[in-house]
Amino acid sequence: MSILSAVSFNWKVNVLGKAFLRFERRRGEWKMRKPYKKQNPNLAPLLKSVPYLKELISTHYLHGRYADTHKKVAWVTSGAPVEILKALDYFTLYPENHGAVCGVRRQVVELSGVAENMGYNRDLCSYARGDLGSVVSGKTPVGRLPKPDLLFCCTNICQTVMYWYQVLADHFKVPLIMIDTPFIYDKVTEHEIEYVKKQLEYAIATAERVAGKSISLKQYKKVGIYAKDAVLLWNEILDLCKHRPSPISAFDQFFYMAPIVDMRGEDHAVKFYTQVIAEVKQRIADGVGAVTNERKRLLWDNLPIWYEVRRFAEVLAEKGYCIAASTYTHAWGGDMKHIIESIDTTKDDMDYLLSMLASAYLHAILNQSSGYKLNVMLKMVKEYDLDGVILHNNRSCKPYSLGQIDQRDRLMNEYGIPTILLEADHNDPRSFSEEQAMNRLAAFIEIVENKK
Amino acid sequence: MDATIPSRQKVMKDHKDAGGFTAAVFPIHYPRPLFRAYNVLPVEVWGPPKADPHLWEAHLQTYTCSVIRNGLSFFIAGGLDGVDMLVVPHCCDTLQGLGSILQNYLPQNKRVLTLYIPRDSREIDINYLAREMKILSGRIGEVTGTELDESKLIKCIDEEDRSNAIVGRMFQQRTQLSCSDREFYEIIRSREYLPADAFITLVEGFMARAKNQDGGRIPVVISGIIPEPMDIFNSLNGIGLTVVGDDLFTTGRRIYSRSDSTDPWTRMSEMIIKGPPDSTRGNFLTNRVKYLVDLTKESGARGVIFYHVKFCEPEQFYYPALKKGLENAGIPSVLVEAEIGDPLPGQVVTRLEAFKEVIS
Repeated sequence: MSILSAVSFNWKVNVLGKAFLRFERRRGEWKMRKPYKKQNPNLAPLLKSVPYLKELISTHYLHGRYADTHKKVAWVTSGAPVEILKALDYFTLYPENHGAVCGVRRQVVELSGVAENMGYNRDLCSYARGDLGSVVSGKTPVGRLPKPDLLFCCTNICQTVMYWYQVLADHFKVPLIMIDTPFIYDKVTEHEIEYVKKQLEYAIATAERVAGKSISLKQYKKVGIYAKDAVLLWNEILDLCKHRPSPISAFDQFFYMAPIVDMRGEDHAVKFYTQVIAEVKQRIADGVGAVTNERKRLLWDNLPIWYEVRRFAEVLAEKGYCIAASTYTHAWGGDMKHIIESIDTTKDDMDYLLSMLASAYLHAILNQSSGYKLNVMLKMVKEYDLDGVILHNNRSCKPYSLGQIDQRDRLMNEYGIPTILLEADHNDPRSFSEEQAMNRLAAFIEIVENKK
Repeated sequence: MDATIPSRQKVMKDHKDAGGFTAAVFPIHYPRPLFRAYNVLPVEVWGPPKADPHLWEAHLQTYTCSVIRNGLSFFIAGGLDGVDMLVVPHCCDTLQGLGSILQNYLPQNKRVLTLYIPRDSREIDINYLAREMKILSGRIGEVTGTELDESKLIKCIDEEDRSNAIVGRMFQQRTQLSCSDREFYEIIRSREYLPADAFITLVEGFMARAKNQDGGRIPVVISGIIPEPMDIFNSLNGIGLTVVGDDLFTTGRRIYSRSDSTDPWTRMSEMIIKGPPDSTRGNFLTNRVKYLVDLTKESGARGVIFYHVKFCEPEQFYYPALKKGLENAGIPSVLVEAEIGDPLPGQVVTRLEAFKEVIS
């Protein structure tokens, strides 16, 4: 980076940008001191940490806007072992998170249209379509996305990312690292861990070549500690939702999970979640629930319907329903959390640390069988004391959705848990019928109410 | 063309009667020789066209491909009751889901064996798949109650190499064979259930008899998943097109090359991993484009027909790059979609007729 571009970057991002975003955060926090006139009486006021979250995300995208002028940039999938890139000081951008931003801002139809005109079928994942449309058109609600020097995907969330990132690699003409995680039908074996570990070794070599420097054990461990701490803090926040009334709902969690995705391995995420925990505990102490009159508690399975999050929160809250837990926000929970928790970060042994990294990422919920996911849901229903389950039958996510029909049948018929299969698409509103969804939701609520 | 192809049911019955085992294998890539070495006849399940379309609805969403939907219906209807095991190679998210559904939810008295196919072709991937095959071998042994005879395995791999070579030769000599595309494909697709030696004998007999193509049809390449309904070939020939190059999952993409390794596990692994570029194995777009352009040029085809099954994500993702790559090479292409079990839509035929005009 030249001196001029370094000065320019620091001026725009670290001086002007940071000051502006800090001011915006303070302004937001100040505004929150007064009661919000349009506050929905069925929902708790916004969490006080919302302006902090906004600052964090905006700073991330602000960095992203200029990142390619001063450091190496990698585009990464949400379930990828990003720790090795963070240790090499890459700026990491998550197209899925960007996709969610596009979804919330309702820009997906336009962006997807660009990809569809190129020949990408509308049946493909709407994250991928929106992202490819954004890449080709240059349109994005976050101003500008930095050009990647490296693409890094991991198939532990789906095979789609492999195809999607290949298209990106072809478009940007940059190296693609793919960590191929064999799907776990039963239990993770040494054979699979060894395979993923070897791929991580290949990945490090490529990432080092692109970064022009070598990974240091010290830096890797530092990143690992941040990642581990963030995962454990995030899980603690989710665990606090076992309290009645639940201090935050899954609709809050959907937005609050951004740092665990985007900033895993950074101190920002640790600081943020530490503050959030304090606030959530205070809510519990004050008897504040995410839904003011929480009567029933539900589980949400699959990704949120990004363009309808608020609406669903309001409709359910009106009936006294709180979605206290979600398999999606628990993606860093379960087996994965236990493995991350067990990592001995004091060990100066890269071989050991890579084995643990391989094991943790193999255990992603989406990389395990439908039966495993059913058991996770049953455990959550019990632990969170839930009254029903909403399975978002997500047209854009086959790995998450296939098996849901049987899961619904088991939950209802074998375990007597009211369950609904709600058809939608996480990002494309063209595959969502509001009327049909609300009718189904009303019928589901009736079943929950009638259950003794 | 006068080639008598024994029916699937008869082949399975004969094999069982002779004391053998049978395995129903879902798409796409798997080690045929390994099953045969255990005296297991692998019979592929490519979404049988006559399966009851309603049975899958209790387990699968409408946005899954008909290959898997029909395969599941066929299984639920009892079509696979006679087999000793089910095999689900992991080749896409839908097959992944199917494997889970079969293992976790559907009551049955037979084992569901899975196999993960790596998405790259480095040495670690070859070694990984070889190890996967060894694990699979142990599971087949558990079902059959027999142990693997490695010399028999090597013999079966040799036979499979011959089988691959003869299919390759069929395509090379396609323009000299006087038969319809449908007859040609009925022969080739019998490989989905015939023992290797029976298949080789069948093809050799066919090749000896089928000579002197009458010509006159415009040569094309077909790319996609599966040539179902097979009426597609009647339509193609009817409008004056003939398939000379194949880039289908069922056929062309499983003409595996011979491996030089002396280790049978590595041979089987390399066979699959070093096969023709394929979307489900994650081969790079550039490799797929080059392969398809070369196949078209080498076969003398004047265009490419993308024959897709709806909701096949791997193929849908590669299509725009393939189309563009072909365009850059001056090769016209057309995309048509069909569903297994449905009659060939008239719209498809109309598009193919229009395509013929373009490449005439």
